[in-house]
Amino acid sequence: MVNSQIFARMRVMQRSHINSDGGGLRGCAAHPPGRRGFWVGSSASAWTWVHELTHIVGDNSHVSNTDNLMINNTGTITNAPPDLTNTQCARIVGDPNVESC
Amino acid sequence: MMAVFSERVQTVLETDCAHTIEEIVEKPTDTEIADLIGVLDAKADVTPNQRQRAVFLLGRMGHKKAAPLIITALPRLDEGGRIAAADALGRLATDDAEAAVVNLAHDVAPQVRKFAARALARIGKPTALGHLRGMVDGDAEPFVRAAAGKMLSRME
Repeated sequence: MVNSQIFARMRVMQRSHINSDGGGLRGCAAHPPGRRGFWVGSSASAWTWVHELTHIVGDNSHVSNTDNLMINNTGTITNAPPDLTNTQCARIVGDPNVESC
Repeated sequence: MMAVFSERVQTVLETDCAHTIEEIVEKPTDTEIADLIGVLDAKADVTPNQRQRAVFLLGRMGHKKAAPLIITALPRLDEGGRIAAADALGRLATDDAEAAVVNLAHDVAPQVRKFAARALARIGKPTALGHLRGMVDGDAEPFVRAAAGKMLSRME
């Protein structure tokens, strides 16, 4: 349900796939105010794309739990698929750009 | 035995998400800069990825004193490290950085050359732009020539 709600609004968000950023990073969700977007690099793990999306939708920060999607290196996720806590899910559902569809 | 760094440096060397690095780039402490410079040391027991990240961060911090240390480390850097070096040296834009970027513009790896083109544009001096013009016509890879041309058109 949450996924379909998020993806219904994806058209308002810029997503980019890039070859390399220069620093060996896999993704970034920094964006100008009012222009939400993120990029993932060619070295992205299976979870980088949705990790960056979860920074944007719900404004979720990094955590230290390697079972959680928001660990700061998705390449170190130890128990795929990674989890989201109830608090993280609530932040996603409460995001202003998430709506029922 | 792997090198041990201050907590924030350890975190930014291990992360794969740029979200983590914003704070340290904006307000690094002297200890953190010293730690990152230590990563460049030939004797430091670090991975190629950590070396790449340290070079990248020192460039983003604008720490000009790092330029000669990055240049000295160049022979030890893999392709990713040389990409980070091109990025960093273009931002630091010291005289010796410009000479090193010109060398990187002839690197064997085309992705390094592409970042060198961007760095030459960022340096922006007439000599740097002259080398950038040379890449537009002379590089062996079409995508590098295209990147150099795009950079040059933004400058002119």
